[in-house]
Amino acid sequence: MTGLLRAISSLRLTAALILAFSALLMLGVIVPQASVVGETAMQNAVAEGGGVRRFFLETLGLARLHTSPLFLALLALFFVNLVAVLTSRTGPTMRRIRMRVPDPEPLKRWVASPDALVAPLPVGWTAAGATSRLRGFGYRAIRAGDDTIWAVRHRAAPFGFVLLHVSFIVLLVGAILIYYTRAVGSARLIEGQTWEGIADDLRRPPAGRPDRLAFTLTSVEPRFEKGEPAGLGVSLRMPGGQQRSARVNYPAQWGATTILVTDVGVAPVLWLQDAQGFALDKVAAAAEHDRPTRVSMAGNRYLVTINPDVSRENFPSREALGRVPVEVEVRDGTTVLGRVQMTPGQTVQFGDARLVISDMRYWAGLRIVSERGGSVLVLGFVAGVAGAVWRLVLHRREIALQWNGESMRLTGRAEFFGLTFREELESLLEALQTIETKETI
Amino acid sequence: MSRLFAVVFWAVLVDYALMVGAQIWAQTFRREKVAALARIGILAGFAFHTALVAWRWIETGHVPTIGNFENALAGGWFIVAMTLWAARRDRYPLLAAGALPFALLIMGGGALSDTAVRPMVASLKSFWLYIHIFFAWLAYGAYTVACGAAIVYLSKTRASRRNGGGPDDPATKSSLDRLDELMFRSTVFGFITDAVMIGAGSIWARNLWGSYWSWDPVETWSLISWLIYGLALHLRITLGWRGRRLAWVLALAIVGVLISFWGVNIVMRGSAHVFNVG
Repeated sequence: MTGLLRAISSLRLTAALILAFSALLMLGVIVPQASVVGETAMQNAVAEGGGVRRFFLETLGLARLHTSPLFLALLALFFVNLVAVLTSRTGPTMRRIRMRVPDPEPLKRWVASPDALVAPLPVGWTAAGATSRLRGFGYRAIRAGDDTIWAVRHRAAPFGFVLLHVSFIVLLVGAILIYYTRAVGSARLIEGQTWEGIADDLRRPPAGRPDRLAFTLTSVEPRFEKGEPAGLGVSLRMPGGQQRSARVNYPAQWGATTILVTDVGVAPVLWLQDAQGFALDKVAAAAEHDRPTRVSMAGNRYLVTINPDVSRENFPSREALGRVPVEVEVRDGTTVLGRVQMTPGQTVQFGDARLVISDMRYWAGLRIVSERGGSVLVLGFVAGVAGAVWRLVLHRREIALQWNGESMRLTGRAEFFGLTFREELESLLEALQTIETKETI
Repeated sequence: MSRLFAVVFWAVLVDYALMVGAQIWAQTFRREKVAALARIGILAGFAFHTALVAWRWIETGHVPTIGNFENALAGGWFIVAMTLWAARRDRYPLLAAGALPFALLIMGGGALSDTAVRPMVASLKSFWLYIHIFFAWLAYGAYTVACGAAIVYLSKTRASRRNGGGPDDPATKSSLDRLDELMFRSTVFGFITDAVMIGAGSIWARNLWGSYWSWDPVETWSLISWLIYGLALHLRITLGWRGRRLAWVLALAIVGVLISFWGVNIVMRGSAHVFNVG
């Protein structure tokens, strides 16, 4: 059992796991993933491919590598190893960061080592002055005898190791929370329209359901720079009349729900009237970008196909919206009643009906995401970076200074970057040689 | 890019290439004057390189971050800047010879792509972009310095073995110890800045796409690269890998960085306009 525990907390196992994990991730980049190409595209690829493709992508689960049993098993082993290493090394780490002066004999031997720096003792030099000077360099100094000072800098830096590795666990908790609570929905709204429901048509959370949401798209604000589209924003009216706005990169937030604006287009408002001008039907149609849009009117009697002359090169500003030409075709059953180009405000006769484009509005494509755990994830990132900086950059340093009537010896050790620390020691020694008598604790 | 810009750009690349050769020549044949000229040449090239970055910034009205070319221009600048900083006071005479070829590779590749000036699209107008990109350049610059130091370390140890000397020769040992520490320090710096880059990128992704992490190839490869360098740190700190063993790891780990770098630019290539219109 002890052997098994030792193996589980082995750092060689850590290295092997990192390598295996990296290799698996590389496979996930090379093999198309359903999460990236889309489920439909993946299913089509599997259906069109042969047995070999089906075996690798479906049977082995390589198309959904990041939720496959192999990946999850490796991840589990990674965290078992992490916890085992943390358990075995946290105790020694906590003991190391205690403020404990070395025993006199080892300390004496250390200072006497041949690579200690030696310098003459300046006139007026005092231990109190030296202690004060060491404090100026960030050291916490303690007298370790009549003729010795021991000092440490960034004493608690080894704790950064714990913080860095615990941050992985925090990240895992955040990721699990997000995975199980994440719901993604989409909405396409025309200005003035209200959306109400549960936004999970794109992804349902494995656990629970998001809250019902309702909001009204009050306006769409495309931005232009030098006549070209350069930004996109929307204004939303939320429950209770509260206003929210969403722009690209700046989504609207409502509790645990985030609303992102992803797309925009034009939506002509069509009135269908009879010969006397009485309204038969009214529809605001969100026109597609790249193909004509079909709209049924008057109880499916008429099929109206609209195709606005709008592209990314000539996307209209609010001022130009009222002048956007729309190619319109009206059918009554299989009979094409007419095909014309219309602009907002124009009325055209089609058979015994009249079609009016009374208005042109924008529509906006929205992505609605509801999830919990994001702040835990961010906390994990921050903790990880802080831990890495604390451990590796601010690493622990110890020095020992010993003197007699004529000279002083300075030695030290740093956890990392020995050569740089050597230069630091030389600067320290130089500073200690310029202590004046007036310096006190 | 304009003709003058192109001329200066290629002149900078040629300068870097020549100075790399000059450094190697100076070290091999112990020509101090040539080494001094190489240092001046690299500094001069860097000054013009800086001017190019500023020129592009003014011309486009934004930090050079869009597309292969701008990323290569700025990324190459960071590699050279960090190499010059690491090698200041002539601590590592051959470091530029090891690191600058990567700047040449990146900038040369960038020059082969579309160099047209593009407006800043809405998807890139985010505070997080600047944090993400800045730390990416710092990380990749640091990794390149580590790789350059590793290459120099490997060539020095190979040369000293061939010349009958060894790592016990005091001058060689001192030089190798400094290179070993530079490899480690650069890797630490790169690892931390890489972590910030990944974190900032995740937060930006959440604001732009609604998801902190979606396992897309760019994200995944940047994680792989970070894990490899994390492995290198583990090998050094806990298993005591130093010298040639660590040098080989760092010399090969740069491949992950190069893949990440080009991967980003492949994803960023696309419409200059915000809306999916037409």
